[in-house]
Amino acid sequence: MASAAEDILEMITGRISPTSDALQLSEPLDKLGLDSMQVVELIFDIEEKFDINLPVNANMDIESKTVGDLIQAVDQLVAAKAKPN
Amino acid sequence: MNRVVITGLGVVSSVGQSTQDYWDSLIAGRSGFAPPTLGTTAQATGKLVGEVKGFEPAAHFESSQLPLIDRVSQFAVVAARQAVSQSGLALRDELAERTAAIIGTGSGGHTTIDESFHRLYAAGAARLHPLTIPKAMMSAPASQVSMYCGVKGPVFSVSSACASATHAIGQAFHMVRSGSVTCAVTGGAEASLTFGAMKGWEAMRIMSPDTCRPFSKDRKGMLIGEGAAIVVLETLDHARSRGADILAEIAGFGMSADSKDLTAPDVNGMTRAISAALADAALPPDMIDYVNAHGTGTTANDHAETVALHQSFGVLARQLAVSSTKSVIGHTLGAAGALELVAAIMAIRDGVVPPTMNYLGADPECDLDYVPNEARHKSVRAILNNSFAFGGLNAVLAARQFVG
Repeated sequence: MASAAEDILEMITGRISPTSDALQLSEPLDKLGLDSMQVVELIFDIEEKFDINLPVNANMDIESKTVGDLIQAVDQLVAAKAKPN
Repeated sequence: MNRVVITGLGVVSSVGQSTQDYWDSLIAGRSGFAPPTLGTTAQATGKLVGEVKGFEPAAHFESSQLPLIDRVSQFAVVAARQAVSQSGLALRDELAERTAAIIGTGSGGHTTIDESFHRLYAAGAARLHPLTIPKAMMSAPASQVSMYCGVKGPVFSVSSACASATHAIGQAFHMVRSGSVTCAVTGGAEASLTFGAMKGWEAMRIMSPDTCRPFSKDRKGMLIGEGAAIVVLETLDHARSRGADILAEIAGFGMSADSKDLTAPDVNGMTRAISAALADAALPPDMIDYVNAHGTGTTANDHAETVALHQSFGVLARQLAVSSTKSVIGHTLGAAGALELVAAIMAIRDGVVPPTMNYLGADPECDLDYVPNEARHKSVRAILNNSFAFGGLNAVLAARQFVG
């Protein structure tokens, strides 16, 4: 199955400064140069695009998660949605 | 310039529908949080809310009046009646015209808007109730207070999100101090626990999945509440001339704007408002024995507010008792500053500081005395009441024990 990685990386690079270095999957979400509400908006855009619910709380989760974690969580939720009951 | 005193308090809250019941609950740490039961809100997000349970509109209003008055205005009127009654003011003739009613609200008649638009968009209604607009308007609580309490001077609402009530009381304080009015009925009201609003709060991802634990380690965000509190302000001369029981004195008011960000708090904006209130009150900082904090329970606010208190008070910050009423009733938004001022005034009256509940232990970023989990007997000479709203709008009131 295709990963959501490409779409998510595109959504992130569209938000951060074009002069920043190449995006690493190990980059923590709170080190992307986005403020916490921009991260919340990013999550909203991802939820809308993939029609999933990401259980993210801005008080707890953002600093402990990396870009790779986010992509993995989206892939899992998309896969779970596709699975027949 | 007049000295400005408080002679009446009124409260409608999730933990009591009178000042005494509310205060007793704060001191005991009796939580107002429970699953929502109001209308469409019950299907919302699974978050707890500080809902005003057991509020019986029919106990306070004639059946012919009820279709005209939204829940937020009902709260405002009930709290205002309590406050005016306690003050003993007879608002008629010239005094009615020399009295202001300035009421803060963040969302006005939000229940009316939510229910009406749901009827229209979802249920396919062909028409709305003819009083939809005047029930929902932001100024409805102020208008209703003026009508039910007989206030005929300057009447208007103030809206600055979570600082609305504090800005309203501050404006009323300025008008009484300057002599443009003799008395003011002022405070804030909010009743926006609607499905639409709750989904909006959920979308910000700053809501706690369990409870509200301001300044604590492992805090996970805020919870929303509703309610109203109203205070009666008047000139000291007027209160004395009629032999009123003076509860406390409003000493000063400070305001600032961050001019920076729609949601992120700004330490410098907070600090400027706190310092402005202290300067306006001409109070030495070591007289402030209690700060009723904005204390929302989010990681960002509580850290920024702690730093702002350090910046404003320097070495004296560690002597402050700081607590957050939101740990008991949640964030009551446009009513918060008024409900929290009542708590601070009662702390002065009773010499008891209300606790910050649900506190699990120290967060290194929040290193002040937050009066964790248990009320404390302490003489309170003067207080600050902090309100810091989204959009960077900051308002801080200073009040002191009345000394004649």
